[in-house]
Amino acid sequence: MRKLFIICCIMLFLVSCSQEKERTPLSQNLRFLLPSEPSILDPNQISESYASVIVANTFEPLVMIDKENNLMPAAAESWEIQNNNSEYIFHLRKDAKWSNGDTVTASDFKNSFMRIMITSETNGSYLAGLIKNGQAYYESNLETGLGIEVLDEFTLKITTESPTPFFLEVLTFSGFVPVHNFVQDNVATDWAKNPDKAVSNGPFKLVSYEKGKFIRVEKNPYYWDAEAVKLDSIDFMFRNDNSDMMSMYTNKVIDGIYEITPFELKMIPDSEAVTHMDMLGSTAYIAFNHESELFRHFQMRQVIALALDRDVIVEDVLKGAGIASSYFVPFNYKIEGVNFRDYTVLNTEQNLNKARTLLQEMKEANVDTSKSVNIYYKLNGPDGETAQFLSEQLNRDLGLNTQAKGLEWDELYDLTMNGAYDLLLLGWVADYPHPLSFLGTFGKNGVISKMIRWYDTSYDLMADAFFKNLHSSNSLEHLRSMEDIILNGYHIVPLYYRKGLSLIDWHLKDWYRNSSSVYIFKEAYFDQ
Amino acid sequence: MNIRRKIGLSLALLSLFTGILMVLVTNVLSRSILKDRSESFLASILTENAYNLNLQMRAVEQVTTALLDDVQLTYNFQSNDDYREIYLSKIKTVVKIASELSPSKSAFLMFFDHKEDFVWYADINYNGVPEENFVNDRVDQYEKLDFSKGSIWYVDEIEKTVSYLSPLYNGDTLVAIVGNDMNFNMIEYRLNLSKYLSSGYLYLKDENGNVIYHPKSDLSRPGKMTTDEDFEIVADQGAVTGNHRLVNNWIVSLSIDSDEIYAGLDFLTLMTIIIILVSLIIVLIYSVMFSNRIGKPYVYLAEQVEDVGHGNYDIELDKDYFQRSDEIGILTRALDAMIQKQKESFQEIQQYNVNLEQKVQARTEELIEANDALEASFEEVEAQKSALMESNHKLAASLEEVEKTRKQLVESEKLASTRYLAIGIAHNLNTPVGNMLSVTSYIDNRIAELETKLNNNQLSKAFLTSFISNYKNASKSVTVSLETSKVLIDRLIGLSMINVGKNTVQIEMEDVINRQFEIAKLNHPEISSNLSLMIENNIAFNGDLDAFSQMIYELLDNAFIHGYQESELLMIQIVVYESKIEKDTIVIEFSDNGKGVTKDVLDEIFTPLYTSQLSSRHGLGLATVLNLITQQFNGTIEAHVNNGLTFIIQLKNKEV
Repeated sequence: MRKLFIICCIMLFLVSCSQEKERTPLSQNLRFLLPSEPSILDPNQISESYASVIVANTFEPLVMIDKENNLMPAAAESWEIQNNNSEYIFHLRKDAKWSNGDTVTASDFKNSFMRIMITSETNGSYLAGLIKNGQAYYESNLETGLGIEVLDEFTLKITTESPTPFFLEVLTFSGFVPVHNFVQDNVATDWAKNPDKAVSNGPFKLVSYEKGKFIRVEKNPYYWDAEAVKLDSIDFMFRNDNSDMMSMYTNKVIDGIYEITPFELKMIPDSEAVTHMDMLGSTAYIAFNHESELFRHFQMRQVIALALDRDVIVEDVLKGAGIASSYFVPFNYKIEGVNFRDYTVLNTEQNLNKARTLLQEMKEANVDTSKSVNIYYKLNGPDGETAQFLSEQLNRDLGLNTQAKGLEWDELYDLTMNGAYDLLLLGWVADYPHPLSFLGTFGKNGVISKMIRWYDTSYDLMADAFFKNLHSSNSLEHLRSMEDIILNGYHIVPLYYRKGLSLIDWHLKDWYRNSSSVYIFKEAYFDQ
Repeated sequence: MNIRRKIGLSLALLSLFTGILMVLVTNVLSRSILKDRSESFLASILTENAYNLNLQMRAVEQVTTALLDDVQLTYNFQSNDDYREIYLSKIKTVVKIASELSPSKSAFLMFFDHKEDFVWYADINYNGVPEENFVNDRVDQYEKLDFSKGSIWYVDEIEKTVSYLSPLYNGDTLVAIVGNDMNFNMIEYRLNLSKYLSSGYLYLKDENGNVIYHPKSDLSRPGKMTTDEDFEIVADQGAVTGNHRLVNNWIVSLSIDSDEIYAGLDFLTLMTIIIILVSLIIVLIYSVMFSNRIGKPYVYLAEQVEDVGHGNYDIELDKDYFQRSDEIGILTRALDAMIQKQKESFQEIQQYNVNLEQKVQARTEELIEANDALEASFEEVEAQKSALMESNHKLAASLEEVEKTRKQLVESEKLASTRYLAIGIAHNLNTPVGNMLSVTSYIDNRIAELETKLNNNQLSKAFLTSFISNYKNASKSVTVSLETSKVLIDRLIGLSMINVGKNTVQIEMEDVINRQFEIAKLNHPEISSNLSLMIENNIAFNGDLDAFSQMIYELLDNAFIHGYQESELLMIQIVVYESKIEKDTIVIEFSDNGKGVTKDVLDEIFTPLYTSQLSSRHGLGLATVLNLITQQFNGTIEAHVNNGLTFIIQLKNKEV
């Protein structure tokens, strides 16, 4: 009797217990897969666009681009623009702190900008070109009259060489951030990878670095806006050849992928729902080595330009992850209120017949067009399938002998800088939202000019004229004519404007990718 | 109530209780299991469907957003109609790609100010490929919608379409919308796939709880979600409803009528009750029979036991029960055995009572006997005691004898001392007397020779001169011997003349001892010596000063004579302190660093005229010391050999 009663009680208890369930709180740790391991993390010297993601979330420039692509105050609380856009006075936040607790001062910015001019050939020369007497400092270390002044601990004044209405946009570049005092005179960059030394002024700070695998940043408790930062940490993981993105994503080893191709996307089930397609300030283009036997000929470059079928590339190969265009500067920018680019005039038509005629002319002029040509592209990037398609199309339609060949970035960079190539398929990503971020890559210090080995003094003169505001036409026309020089000479052949395909767990909210294609995770958080 | 009725009643009650419990438990358990099962089934159907719907909706949203971004970026808002025409022809590809990416294979861009300006792709033929399409009448509907909060989900109930619409603004002016029709057929198809029992349909509600779609509209149950979580189960309106929130805040639901869930339960209860009633009747009948069979023998046995209790042991138990093999048989036999045992015990107790008195008598006699024996032994002890006292007296007598013997021994010791004294005197006088005898005999011879020469006139001056010289020498020698004898005799007289305390004064011991040491040093100039004297502070000693001085001198003299080792510094230490044991007594420790004495010598050291250096001295020093100490100061002296010789002297203080 009593036993029966006890058994009944136990059964009742078990039945009532089985109802309860527990929920585990969501961890605020983002695991984000980068296409590869950045070679440099020193913000004053970065070159890879994916390194900017790390820098942009650990360091803070004076001014930033917000979700809606407008300028917003960052390390500078406010600013005044005087003297016809040539004097910029920045009022720094008094509560802005380094991740070690030190105060961020105007001197930090001054010293860092000077450090950029000394240590970075490309970004440094660009900055030097804008700042008053910067060129003299860049070339011969002359500090006299340099247009960067510390008015007091929290006030910085920058004077430009000439009126520069887009100077604030330039300062949004993730490389134009301050570095702490202790690295000022240090040309070495490895401090930025050392958790003990990597002091930063942004929402997150570096806490560990595992070479070849990942870096981890954690919330910076000293950040002035730390309350707005909701993620505890971010693991930036590096993709390598063995990474199986599909299984990493479906097994929830990663929460997001920086960059993915439409082809890879197809392999991930239900990816449509988590795919983000952002129009980037980025243009894919073919670069010709002007010292190459084949492509030093203007006509040969023209042949390629005319034979391309950009629309097919965008529709079939990229599945819409781009907008076909024959222009280099994308249409993200306005100059004095006018769109720099018109979507309806992108001139993407193919002219195969003309291309064939020109090629025939080349052959008759004894140019060996049957020479084997590699179309190089960066592995683990968005260009593999395009390069493959291009190679097949050119071989089929023109009878050329091309092969698509992917290389790791460092290899590709060496090869490019040594001029040991014929054709490259690359993309240029804007550093800041202005056409000059594209046009500035040509000319005596331009990085693309260096790669393709083409320099033109008339282009340099036009660039100088723009900087010194000495051009006759309006700024828009002047910049467009600069672009015309590049395009009419077929020095490079733009293919399309890139849309960034990325995969991010839909539970992650309040992140954005700015018009310089940099992911900002400052206010991001996981929502159940 | 006898045991038969009790057993019957309790069996009936037990079966009734068990029956009721069974009804309750089966009801609760089945209810809970049914509820649990239904809820988990509900949850799994809803989660799966919500996940799939979410995926599709997210995809639709993403495609639309991407398309809107493209248009926002590429469209020139300051354009005219001509521009728009070119623009639409260019953007067509982008819209088409968007529609291909969309799960519903549709996407559109529609300008409001010129209703013909749109580009529209949809999978009209349901073949999975979007085609260009024209749906004019939608423009008017969409124009009236409220886009103030951004993109919206829109349901056209007549057309049965669900669309995601994103507005494109130029400043504050709504210029266009981009959108995407979610294929409602597909949603319907998916919702229709799952069904639970006859009433459990999946259906769709908007965020306000209005039903958007239900496969059987008459069964629809509108209602908002009551929680902020994404999933809930609520039971009301006679139904259990599971709600799962979707990404656009719509709700996918599944309701089941409670009646249907618990439909089988009433029948189960009824059946259980019938079974219980039947079993109750069976139990009642059985319990009557059972209690009869079980209860009867117990009642009989109880009666018999009651008889025994009243002292009646002559009972014949029923033979039938006696032979049974069950517990009744055991009980009956046990009861019989018990009655027999009881009977025997009763008789035994009676027997015991008789025996007990005899035993008490015997015991009393034994006790008296033992008492007598005890008294006898008392007398014996008394006798032993008087014998002991007798032997005690004998012991006392023998002690007296021992004392007598001891006295005799002292006397004989004295004799021995006297013998030594005689031998000593003889020895010491022997030499001077012998000398004198030989000198006088020599003188006699010379006188006889002188006489002869005189008589014969042969006396010469030379002979006379020699004779005078010889005579002088002889006379001198005799004088020396006589003087030696005189000294000895004086000392013997001194020894016998020591008298008890004539003049008792307080003695300045430090002065006395130092003075005597100086005298001793003068008497032994050949010996280098050193005295270390330590006298306890505030110590006073009263006694005869001469006796004390002599005692000290004799001790020092003895040390100089007997303690001195050649070519060594004689070190004498004298320590004087008050005795901690004896009252009114001082202790003088006198020690030297000399050669000491052997054990034999030590025993005789105080014997008069005993000396370790025969013929060198008189052997009276230490005897004098002993006499002085014992007679003048009523004290004691002990000698120890310790490197040199150490005397420990205790002297009694006298009253002045």
